[in-house]
Amino acid sequence: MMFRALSFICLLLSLAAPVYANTLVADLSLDEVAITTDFNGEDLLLFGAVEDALNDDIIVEFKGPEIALASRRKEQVSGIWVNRQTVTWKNAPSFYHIFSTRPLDEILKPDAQRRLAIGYQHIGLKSAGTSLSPADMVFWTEALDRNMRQKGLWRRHENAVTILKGVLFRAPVALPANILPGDYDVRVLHIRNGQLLAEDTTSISVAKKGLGAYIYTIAHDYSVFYGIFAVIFACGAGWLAAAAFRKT
Amino acid sequence: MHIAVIIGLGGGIGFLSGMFGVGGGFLMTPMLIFLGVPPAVAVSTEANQIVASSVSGVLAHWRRGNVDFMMGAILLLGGLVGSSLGVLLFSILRDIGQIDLVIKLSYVVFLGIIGFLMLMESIRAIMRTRQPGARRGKLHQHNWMHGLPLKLRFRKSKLYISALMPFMLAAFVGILSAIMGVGGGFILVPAMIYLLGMPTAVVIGTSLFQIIFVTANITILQSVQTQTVDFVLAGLLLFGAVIGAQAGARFGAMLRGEQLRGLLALMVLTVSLKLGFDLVVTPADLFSVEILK
Repeated sequence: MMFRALSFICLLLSLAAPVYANTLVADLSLDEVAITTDFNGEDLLLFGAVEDALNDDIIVEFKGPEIALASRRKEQVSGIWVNRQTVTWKNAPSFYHIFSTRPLDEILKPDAQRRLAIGYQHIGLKSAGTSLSPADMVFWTEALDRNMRQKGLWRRHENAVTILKGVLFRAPVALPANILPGDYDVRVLHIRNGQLLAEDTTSISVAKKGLGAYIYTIAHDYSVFYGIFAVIFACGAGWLAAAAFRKT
Repeated sequence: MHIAVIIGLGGGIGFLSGMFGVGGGFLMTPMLIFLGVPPAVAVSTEANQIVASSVSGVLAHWRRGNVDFMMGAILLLGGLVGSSLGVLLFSILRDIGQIDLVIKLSYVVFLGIIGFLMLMESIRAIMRTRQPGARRGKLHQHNWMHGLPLKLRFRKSKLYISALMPFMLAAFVGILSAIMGVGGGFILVPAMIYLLGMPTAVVIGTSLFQIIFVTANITILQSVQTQTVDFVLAGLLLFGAVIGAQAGARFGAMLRGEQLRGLLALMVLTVSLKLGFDLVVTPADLFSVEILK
């Protein structure tokens, strides 16, 4: 009874709010991406409606499942480049793309970026084991960002969101071939003068499908069988090859 | 990577291995690495492919009775011990982030030595054919190894030597097999001829026989320990390699032995130098990132 009364009040309040108050709805052209054996990336469209955004900015954060990563730094040891230092990240996003109407740093000041937790510096990356000094943290996260950008897994797409007549926005999203399966979270922010006006979230699931998924599962969950099967497969293939070319 | 590239690579390396009569693992693994396959995956997958190519190779030798199963069994024991140790070492090195370096260094060192020795040998052979009447060296020499215990009679190889010798040899090659993704024929074959004194005719069949089991052991252990075996990739490489090897064997029959060995030596040295150069040259980025499990 109490709950019902509360929700009624909430409903009244929301109706009472002025119509122009900060609504934002975002969606993706697909709600699932299948990684098949011949998967070569997937093109999506992120689109949505916003109110009164004629001179405003839209920022889209596209974040993949968190994984553990190891950053390594090479040093020269008697002429040869050897990995000497390692920093292990416990919770790095496997995919982190930011799309925006203008360069992110023009839209949001550094402290606003931190408050909204947008950008690799502000997503709470944690190193395992001994904690890094603030200076080392900057140094190592910059290197991580560079390496991940190289792989196409982290990226900033400036001027990639277009707003039509202040109400419709769209951003093409190209998922690369090397993305990991899992749930991808999308956060869309409507920013005016460095202030957050409205926000919406959506998500998309990326899953391995078909033969590739089957092999992947077996390789990881039944690795002994996988190994034995790989050997039997090889013996069979070798025997076939010999039989095919046997001199008659 | 595109399927056509993989089959093409298999075909190219298969052609060379058919032409020179070598397994091709020591060329295939570095090529996969050059093409951007992670070294760990290249090594484990190549072990899987070598199972197949050795099975197809051993059948012909078996039919001709050129397999010394007694010697094969002793080598096999050593090979299983060595390759199991090798896979363990592999997984430790991977955890501390040094596996890529160790794989490349092993290639530089062993390909460098083998390539150099082969080049010298073939140059000498070519000189000898131009100078008829030169004397051959002594075939069989006695040294400290013949004093080891546990002597066994190997009828097919016409040898009476300590079982410890082939055991230790195979254990050493097994470790290298696991780390380098090779069958190890390029070390095993010369060692069986020069170190153990086996007749050349039974050496290849016997080494192939033991390589099947050692690489099968590596395939299973790597599947369990590191999940770096990709049997689809191995299958595609094999498909190309089988066809390439047939063409290569026919082409090779038209060239002379010493010249073939000289060519192979130059190729081995080139691969070794290229890998060595990559280790010494300053990388574009000193930092790298790796996905952990």
